[in-house]
Amino acid sequence: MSKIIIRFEPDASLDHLEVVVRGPQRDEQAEQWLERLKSLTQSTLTVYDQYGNLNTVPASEVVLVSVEGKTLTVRTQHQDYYAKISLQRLEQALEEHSFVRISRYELVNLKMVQRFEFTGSGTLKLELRGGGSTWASRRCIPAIRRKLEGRD
Amino acid sequence: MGKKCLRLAAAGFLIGVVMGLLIPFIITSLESGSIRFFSSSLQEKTGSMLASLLIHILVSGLYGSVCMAGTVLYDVESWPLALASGVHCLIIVALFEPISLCLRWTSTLAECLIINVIQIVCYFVIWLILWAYYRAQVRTLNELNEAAFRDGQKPEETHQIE
Repeated sequence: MSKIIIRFEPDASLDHLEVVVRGPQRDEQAEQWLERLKSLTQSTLTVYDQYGNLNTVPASEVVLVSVEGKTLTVRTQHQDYYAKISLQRLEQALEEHSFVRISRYELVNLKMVQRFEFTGSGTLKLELRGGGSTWASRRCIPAIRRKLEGRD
Repeated sequence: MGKKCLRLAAAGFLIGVVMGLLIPFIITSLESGSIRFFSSSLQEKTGSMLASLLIHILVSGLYGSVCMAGTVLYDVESWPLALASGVHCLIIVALFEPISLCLRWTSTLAECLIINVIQIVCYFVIWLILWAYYRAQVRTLNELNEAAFRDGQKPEETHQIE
């Protein structure tokens, strides 16, 4: 492993933290550091797969969280996971992110919503990225709007 | 939802009583110049002014209660707007017939059916307004969603590593 220097440079022109990894080339060591730094910036959820194995899933990869009975399902684009936490607690944990309550039973990641559609019968349908869809309560429209406007 | 239903039913009872007294008052004062709060044929049937008034207040209040409490149907999240509106309309229309005949708001079944048709048309207009309102809201959501995507907030995280 080559020598690594970590230092902080004050920059009054910035209003956020900017982490730059500098080096002669983007080699394996640089990739490892980038991955480590990336994991620090992402919220993760502790979930179980269908075999009961413990996994961590970045919140940004979650499409939908739904509850049915006592089972909380965390759906990503690739597979479904399960969590032993209430939907309300999860909603509080994810409220800083792009998640919003769309019904009594579901939270959706707005970054994973392709488009909204109000059907002829009067149902608010959400088409999700990567296929699939779900529906939202009409009462949740103001909350979704506030979230999209960045007011929540 | 149960508490909300009871609150709405209580408010609906008051509205029903007020409307039930106001409408005959306006009609009778315009028609004959005399002031009545219920149909004269109802009094003929009961034989007592007080009994007629009490029956009128109670039944019109109950009708108001059912109409208002029925609006909780719109809160059933899994029901589309058309279903909630349709069921609510059906309750109001179906109840109107026996109530109007009981309180002598209408004297014949034909009159009652005409009012039923007017109710259904009014309901359709209300549903259309609600549908257009929600559709406009959803259009705004799509605009905001597309703007967020264009601004690069989606689908990547804000804390992006390049």
